[in-house]
Amino acid sequence: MKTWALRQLRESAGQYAASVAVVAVVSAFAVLLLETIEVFAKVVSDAGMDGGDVRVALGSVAIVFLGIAVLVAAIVISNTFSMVYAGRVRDIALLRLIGATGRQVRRTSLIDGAAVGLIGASLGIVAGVLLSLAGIATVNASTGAGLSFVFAPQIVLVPLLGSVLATVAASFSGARTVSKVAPIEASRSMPEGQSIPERASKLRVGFGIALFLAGTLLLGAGLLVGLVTPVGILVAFPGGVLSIIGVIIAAPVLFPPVLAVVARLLPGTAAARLAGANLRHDPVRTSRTVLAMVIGVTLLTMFTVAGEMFIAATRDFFGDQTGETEEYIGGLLTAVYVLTSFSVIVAAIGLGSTLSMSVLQRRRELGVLRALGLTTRQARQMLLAESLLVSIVGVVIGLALGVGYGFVGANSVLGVQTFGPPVIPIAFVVAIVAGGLLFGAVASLAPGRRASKVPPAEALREA
Amino acid sequence: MQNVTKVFGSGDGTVHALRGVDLAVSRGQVTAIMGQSGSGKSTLLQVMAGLEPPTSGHVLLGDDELSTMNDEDLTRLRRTRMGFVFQAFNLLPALTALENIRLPFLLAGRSIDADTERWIELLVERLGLRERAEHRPQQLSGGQQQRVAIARALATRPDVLFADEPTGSLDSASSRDVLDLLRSASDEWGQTIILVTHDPVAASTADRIVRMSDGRLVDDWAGGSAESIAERMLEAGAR
Repeated sequence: MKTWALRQLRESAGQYAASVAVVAVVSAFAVLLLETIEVFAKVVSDAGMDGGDVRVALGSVAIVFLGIAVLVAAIVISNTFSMVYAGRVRDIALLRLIGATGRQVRRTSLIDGAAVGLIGASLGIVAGVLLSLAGIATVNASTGAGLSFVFAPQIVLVPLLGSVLATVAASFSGARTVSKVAPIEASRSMPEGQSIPERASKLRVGFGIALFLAGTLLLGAGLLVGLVTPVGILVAFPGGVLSIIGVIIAAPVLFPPVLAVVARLLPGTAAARLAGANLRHDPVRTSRTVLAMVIGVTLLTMFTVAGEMFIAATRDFFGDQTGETEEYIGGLLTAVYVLTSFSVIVAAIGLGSTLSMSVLQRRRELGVLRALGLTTRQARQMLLAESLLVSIVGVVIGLALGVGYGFVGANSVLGVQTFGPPVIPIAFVVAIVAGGLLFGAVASLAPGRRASKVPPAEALREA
Repeated sequence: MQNVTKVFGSGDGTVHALRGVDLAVSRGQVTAIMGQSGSGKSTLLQVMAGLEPPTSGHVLLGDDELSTMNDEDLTRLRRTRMGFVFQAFNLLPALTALENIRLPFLLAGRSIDADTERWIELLVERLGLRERAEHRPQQLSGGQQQRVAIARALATRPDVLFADEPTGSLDSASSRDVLDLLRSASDEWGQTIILVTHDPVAASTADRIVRMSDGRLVDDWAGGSAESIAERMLEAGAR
């Protein structure tokens, strides 16, 4: 079993590259955040003040943004693992036929998970330390602050243990589905290609929708409480967390209707129609890909809307004497954008790799299309359309959720003074839509090229 | 096809899949290409259908020379003038049966005129797919999937239909069914069919049989019953 697992790992190395990159990005982000805290704490305590408060304050900010990046990464990685394992279904069934137990199959997945986690974390930690050194040098050069690198064990331990734990968990959950593969599947011919679309469990989706509704109720309650006292946020915040968890769980049923509407906006060309059908065919995988986008866009939108509402409210309250507040909130927003950008990078890698892997798994299908008359250009356009659909749907859902959260968040604090409508800067919407389209177009380049190179003779290969 | 060769690889690993094949397929006939695995019959099909370029020689469809066309022109040729039926059915799982049948028109970006619409309607009816038109391939039996594939191949009224082991994944009843359909497509509509198979029963529907061995055409006769074909193949194998 171990030999088989190691050989499979080697064969899947290319497909894991994106996961390794994702782990590396998040690990580097973790190192940067933790090192920033250490450096600040040292500066404060050198100045004779208590460094503990700084640690707590910055630490909670770090936990929130790191947590979000980890969440996005976990979604991307579990998508990768479930696709890799879906490609191995026949081999696994064969192993089961010869006598491997479901448990043995699951255990082999630990090797994949550990390898991805260890390699990604090591690369990320090295990159994070180098970035920290570069950052410190830049600050020193421009301000002469004389900062120095502070080594603390957690800047290595946290990303290392966190990454390995997360990847092992993701690979284990991905393997759970395939370890249920019946030995009989080995003898069954699968003329429709290797990948089986995943089905969402009704129970899970129901649970997700229930969480989403409960969260929405709490958000509404927070809004009402906010009319009386600023502590409305304490009611609204858990509501926001609950509802987004609900969205994540129920995504396979919540997203496809949005996808269907957006798909209708595309031109009725072969490439676009096939792209829409492909995405609808595997709602679980599609919604996981969309989800990574949704989280990034939701965060950016939420902070932007809430920030602008705070600015609008202070303007109402203090008239025009608000330059300083606006500058302060603007600065906070910039910080939020920078912190969120790591999650957005992770989502971008995830979109590109999901598309690339789907091309690998659809080789026969692409061969058939080529044999029946799909030109290489249409093949590239099909992948472009898939990618654009995913990013547009992600932007649409993210904008809707973000505006909602931003609106509730701001009013649950400010409502008692001025209850305001959501402020949605047009420039922001334009930027995020344009960004989403660009992001989708770029992510489709490599997989599109790959798809156009599938030879039509692939259709004739025996199943 | 005139003096067609196909060589894969180079140096020690060179495989001569086709060693100078001459073959003229008559319009309106069912021609079966037989041979053991490794005889070159699949390569012959790929080269004839413009899926693989020949190493040398000429491949013609009517007056059009396939061997010199670029990928774009070949692709257009395939979608307008050729039909394909595969062993593995190869329907697109994301599309319904009817959408699969209409796929060649979607790929060509052509709207379907009233005449073609009636033709598709007729095919769906004749192939007994009316009740199944909105089903996904996964919901259909093997025989039904292959009938959808045949409808897809006939929908564009191609000059030639290539069938690669069309009964290879089917039980004997469904096989019979599929072979009868191909036969009647030829009899009723004059459809030219090239059938690649190693199954004497499938080959018995053909008007003409050619046998390949080691990349060459070694036999060419008018076919006959499954028994007589099997006998002739066995004799050839024993020599």
